[in-house]
Amino acid sequence: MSEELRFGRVFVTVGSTQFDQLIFAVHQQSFLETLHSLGVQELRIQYGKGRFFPLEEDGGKLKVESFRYKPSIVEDINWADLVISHGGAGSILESLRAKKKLIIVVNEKLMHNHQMELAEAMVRNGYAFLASTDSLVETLKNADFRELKPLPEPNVFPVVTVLLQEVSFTE
Amino acid sequence: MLMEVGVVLSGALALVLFLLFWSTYKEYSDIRRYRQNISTSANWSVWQEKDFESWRNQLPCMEGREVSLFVVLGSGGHTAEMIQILQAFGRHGLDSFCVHGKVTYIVASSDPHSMVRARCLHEKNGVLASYSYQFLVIPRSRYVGQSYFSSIFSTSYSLVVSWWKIIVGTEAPDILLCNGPGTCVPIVLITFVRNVVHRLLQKRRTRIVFIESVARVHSLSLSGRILYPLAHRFLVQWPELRDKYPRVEYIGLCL
Repeated sequence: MSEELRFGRVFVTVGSTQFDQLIFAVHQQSFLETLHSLGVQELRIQYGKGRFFPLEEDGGKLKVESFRYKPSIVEDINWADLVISHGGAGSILESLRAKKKLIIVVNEKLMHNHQMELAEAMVRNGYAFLASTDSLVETLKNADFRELKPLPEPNVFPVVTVLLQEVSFTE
Repeated sequence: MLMEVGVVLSGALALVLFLLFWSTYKEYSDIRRYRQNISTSANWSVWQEKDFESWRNQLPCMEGREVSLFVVLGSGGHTAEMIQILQAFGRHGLDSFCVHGKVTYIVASSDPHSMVRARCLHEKNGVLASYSYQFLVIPRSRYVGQSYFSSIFSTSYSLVVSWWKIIVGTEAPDILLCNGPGTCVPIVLITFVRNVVHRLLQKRRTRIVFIESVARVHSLSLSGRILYPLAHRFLVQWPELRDKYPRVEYIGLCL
């Protein structure tokens, strides 16, 4: 972990799924300590369908808040410096579009679900890091976030052209 | 006498069936040929704003023409993608070209959230403010957890209602735009059948545009696979899909 890249705020999201292993993992003392050593001051957790874990201590020196759902998590993504996501398409794209560093944590239960296709593609292309619930702390400590490439800007012109071609299509 | 009437009637029936069959075949093979030509000629990966601008400036003027779009709003992520595509269309496609028109949104009855999001596009400062809009509400064909047996009935009910609302209630639009989950399959099938009939009657036919979700990287979604032979344009956002399916257009990430 480089000296110059420090995170102030971290947002953990599981979307509308139940992913208690991740929520549990981010409540572990070792995780919170690692965050603190990286300079994190605030942690926000969206725990979806899962159980609510009350924090046993006060999170050490971190300010921790949790919520189940919000109509939109865009605000929380913009608020954060680092997003830890369950790998849903919405949260992946919103995080990368907002130019946030992203760690995707795979839910082994959904391993072969097509929902993971996008997550795998993002990791393969170097836009995000992949971790499991067990390796999350390790990944945070060792990953060099400067290696992550920005997601290419979307190009809307092909689809607009296709639509205009079809509107003006005459046989 | 009775026998002669019978012969004439069955002859007429046979003729109608033959015409429908022929028209279906023509429609299908036209789509296939059109897609084949386009997917070999189109290279969207180098298509940027300036290419688009100069291409659009050469289009013939369509002043006074009302553009009519049908848009299927799936739910959740599918709706979000579709709204972004419509925003791009409104922002870049509308100036000096198809300025006026109407959008008909097809939404499931269980999905008020999609209606709210669509309405936002047409508000005073929305990108589609110059377009009028309406909603066609279709009963949902299957609820999460519903048994397969009872879903046979609800699916047929949904199909009949969609059929009635689309065929009887609307004129054929210019474009049917869909990106999504199961809801769009019956809508496309109905539109295809209408196209077959309109080919015989020499009336306006609808162009079907399918955009595969960004979340599909290696394989098409189930609705994508079903609609693959029926769409006039089939757009995908990942190169893996272009290498796998010969008649798709790879447009890169568009959102």
